[in-house]
Amino acid sequence: MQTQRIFLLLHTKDLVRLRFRGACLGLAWNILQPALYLMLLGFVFAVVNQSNYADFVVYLFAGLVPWRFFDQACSAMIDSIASSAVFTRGFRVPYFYFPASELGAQLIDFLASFLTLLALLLLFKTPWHLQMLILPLSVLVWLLLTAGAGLCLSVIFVFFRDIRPIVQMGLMLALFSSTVFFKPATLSGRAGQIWLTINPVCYWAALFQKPIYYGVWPLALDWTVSLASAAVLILLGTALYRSLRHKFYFYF
Amino acid sequence: MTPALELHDVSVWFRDTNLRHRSLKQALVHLFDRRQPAVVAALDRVSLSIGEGQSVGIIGRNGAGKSTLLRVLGQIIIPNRGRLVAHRRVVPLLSLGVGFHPEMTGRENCYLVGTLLGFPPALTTARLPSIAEFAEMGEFLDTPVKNYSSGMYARLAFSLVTEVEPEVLLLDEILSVGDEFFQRKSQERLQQLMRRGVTTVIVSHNLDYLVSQCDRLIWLDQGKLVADGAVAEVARAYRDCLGHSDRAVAAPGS
Repeated sequence: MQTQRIFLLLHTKDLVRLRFRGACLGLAWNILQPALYLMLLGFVFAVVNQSNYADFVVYLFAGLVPWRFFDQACSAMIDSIASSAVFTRGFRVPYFYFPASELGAQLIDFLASFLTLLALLLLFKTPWHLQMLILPLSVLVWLLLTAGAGLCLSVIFVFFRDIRPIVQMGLMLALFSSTVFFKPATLSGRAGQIWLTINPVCYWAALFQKPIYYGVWPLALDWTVSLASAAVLILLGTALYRSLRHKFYFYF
Repeated sequence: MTPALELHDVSVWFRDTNLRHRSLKQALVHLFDRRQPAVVAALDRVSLSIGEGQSVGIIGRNGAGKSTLLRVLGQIIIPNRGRLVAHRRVVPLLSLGVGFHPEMTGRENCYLVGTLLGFPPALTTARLPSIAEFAEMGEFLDTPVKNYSSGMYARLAFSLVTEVEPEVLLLDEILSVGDEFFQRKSQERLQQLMRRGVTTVIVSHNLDYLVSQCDRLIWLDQGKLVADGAVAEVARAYRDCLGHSDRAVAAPGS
């Protein structure tokens, strides 16, 4: 059992190394790719929105950095069990190690994006708030959210191989219909306010946006909704995994 | 005899829709299909005990459940019913193409798969020279496995699993791959392991090989245990049955 846990670490490390093996900058791409992506996206959105570049970029990135982690990790985890046959058809290894390894590999990307965000705060001379000290906890909550969602998706994907485009569409809708992408003030009117109230992604995003952009502590409601979402996803993922894992072998 | 592995009333089954449904679209279409999917019993209430140091052969026709049984013993397939008790560390070598990540080098795979076989990286480092030497890898140890020939792959896989000090070794037709020289070499190593008291469970269609190597034979048919006992007896009964069914099959056309 002890060595199986070492497998989890080694496999995560290999996933990170394999991603850019053979590329001219090698492992540096793990840092450069998210940094370049975020900078380009921030510039484009700021130009399209004709808003103050630095202000909008800081707002956007405060939500986009954790969202991108969630999005990328879900996309990587979704087929992790289904494509683990190379190991799981030959050796005894818990299936959940494979989504867990993908999650670990994506965490590197997340940290690189987070460092990019901090670098941009310095570049734009944005004030650093005391509330930013809460960010490690915010990262933990997003990690739990992603673990739960990724586990659910990886189990469902074993049985339904065509769900990837549906999931990608759902993730895109969730991004563009939440405060990750637009400021709450953009949605005026009663319907807009109701939407902001019932959309859990807005509460998840607040865990990063409030300390970084607004310089305030996230509300108890933000933590409650986010932690409750994470608990629901993890419990659902665990229940699906435990009840269906004996069937996985026959679906490879 | 102290048991190394015990199976208690183990059944494995799956619905044949498992083999057809791979998409949400198909599942939705199937909602309106009132036909009940057939249940395929890969293993049907199998109970047995394999003692320490025994070398057991498993025989049976295609689809008899031999490979499923081996995978249950290796804790790769979780049975729908019954339970497996493994008293010893089980090392499976079940098929070529399984166990090694194609994008990773032979060396990286040895470390990775070594951990699945209960070998920590430090021990793999110590054993790597002998693993590579037996497998005759040369400079290819640092080449991605996807570039290996099937012979190289088999040599490395066999070398690794026999080097990690297995207590129970499960083999599924694996000794029939590779060139003749490698087959002879691997059989010699296997015999050394047997002499050292390693429990071996071998699935093969080569009855003569099993008769020469094993001290016990298990005969499966349609997931059920037909016979389990001394090699000579079970092999004779199996041969008689095959001969009988061959005549039965030949009769209508003759």
